[in-house]
Amino acid sequence: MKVRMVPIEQVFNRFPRMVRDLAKELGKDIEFIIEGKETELDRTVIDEIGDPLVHLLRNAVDHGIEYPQIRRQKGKPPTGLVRLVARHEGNNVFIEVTDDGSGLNLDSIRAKAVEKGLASSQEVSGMTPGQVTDLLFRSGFSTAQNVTDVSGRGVGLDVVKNKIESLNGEILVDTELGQGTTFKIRLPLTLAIIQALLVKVGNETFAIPLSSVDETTMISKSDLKMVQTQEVVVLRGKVLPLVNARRLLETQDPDINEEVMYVVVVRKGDKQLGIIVDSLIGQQEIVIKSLGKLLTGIPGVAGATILGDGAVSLILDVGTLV
Amino acid sequence: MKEIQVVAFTIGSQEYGVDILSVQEIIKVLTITRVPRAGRYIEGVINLRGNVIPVFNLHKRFGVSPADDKEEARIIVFQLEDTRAGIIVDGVSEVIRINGDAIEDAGKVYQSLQADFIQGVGKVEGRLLLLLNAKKLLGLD
Repeated sequence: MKVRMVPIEQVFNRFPRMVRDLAKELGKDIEFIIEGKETELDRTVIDEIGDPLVHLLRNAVDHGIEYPQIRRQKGKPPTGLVRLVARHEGNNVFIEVTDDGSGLNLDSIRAKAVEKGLASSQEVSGMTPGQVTDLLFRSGFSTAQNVTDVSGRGVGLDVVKNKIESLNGEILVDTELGQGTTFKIRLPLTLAIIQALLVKVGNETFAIPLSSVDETTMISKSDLKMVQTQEVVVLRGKVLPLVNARRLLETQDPDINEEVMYVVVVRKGDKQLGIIVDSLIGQQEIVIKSLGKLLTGIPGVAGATILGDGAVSLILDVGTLV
Repeated sequence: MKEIQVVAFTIGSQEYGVDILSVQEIIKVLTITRVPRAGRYIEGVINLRGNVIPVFNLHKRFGVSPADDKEEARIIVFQLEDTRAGIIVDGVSEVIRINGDAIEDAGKVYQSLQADFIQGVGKVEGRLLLLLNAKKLLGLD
């Protein structure tokens, strides 16, 4: 099972060189940052995602980032920034390609769409910015004034979009003129296997993705302190806010009355938080299953998994749990 | 109107029916995993041969208490387009053919909010079956 899950590093690793070579070729100065390359994805997805990312990165370098002298004129640092970020979020993996370049010119997209006969001029003038950027993904659309051998290979963003959609994902654009552009790819985790920590809360078992767990620890009741109404514990000199999993998960008996309590220290953004659970079961690889259309968007629940004994256990999403 | 086949089941003391074409299978009640923060009417999720499927509690929705005898309780699993979901019922009796003209319009009988997922009232040999629209019942429509 584990073989199926591959860190996205495999794909990302070839990009720094590609970006550097491209930048050199074009005479641009670019800093390329990669984050979250340890994010794991299903191998089938990894195999497919390379080409769309190459396309987006080439776009960012070629059309996004301006030449150094133009950047200076605009009062930007001469070195352009291109970021490639991957992360897990709830039931999805997000991959973002961001540049701090010129941004998309919505008016020229409008004009181009009319010229290419994709929409009438009345239509485009009534469009919201989101609808305008959607035009980029129509087939037969390319805004580069001059076709270069870098990104103008006759393959448009429509191909990127089709590829992402064939993987059940979606692609969104966020842009601000003069500030830059972000392409955000969302891929579902339905096939995904992750490492998780299984814990007992009341008599129920829950899975916490290991990627959001920093550590587990044991505290005794006397270690608990109150800061106003917030329970905290001092862990190695740092104050750690605590929440009771039984309360969060609305179990029948909300109070844990043990002398010794187990705490899972999780990371939420850049903060740490301790979740008090009844007991720790252990670390295990789990297959993420979606809860389906009828149960989407429940805060704190990222999906479910089926344990060895056939029981269904919910996967907690730390980001939205508290 | 043409004849339809319905799966007849009971919730509390009332008999209901759903179109057999929307039913995938009927299973015994398995272990149900509670889903915190889901709606009140969601009983939880079950493992149906490797698939995670939500199960609705219609007793809560209809405001009736479940039967004391759990022996006959079943989960009816619906397959509606690409979504599957189950409901817990107190018992499943049979599959009945109902003639189109033996079905009364729901509007005549019900005027409450609940009426939108009640398709009609079927009359079969002196029994009255509330015919439910599974799609509307599960909020898919």
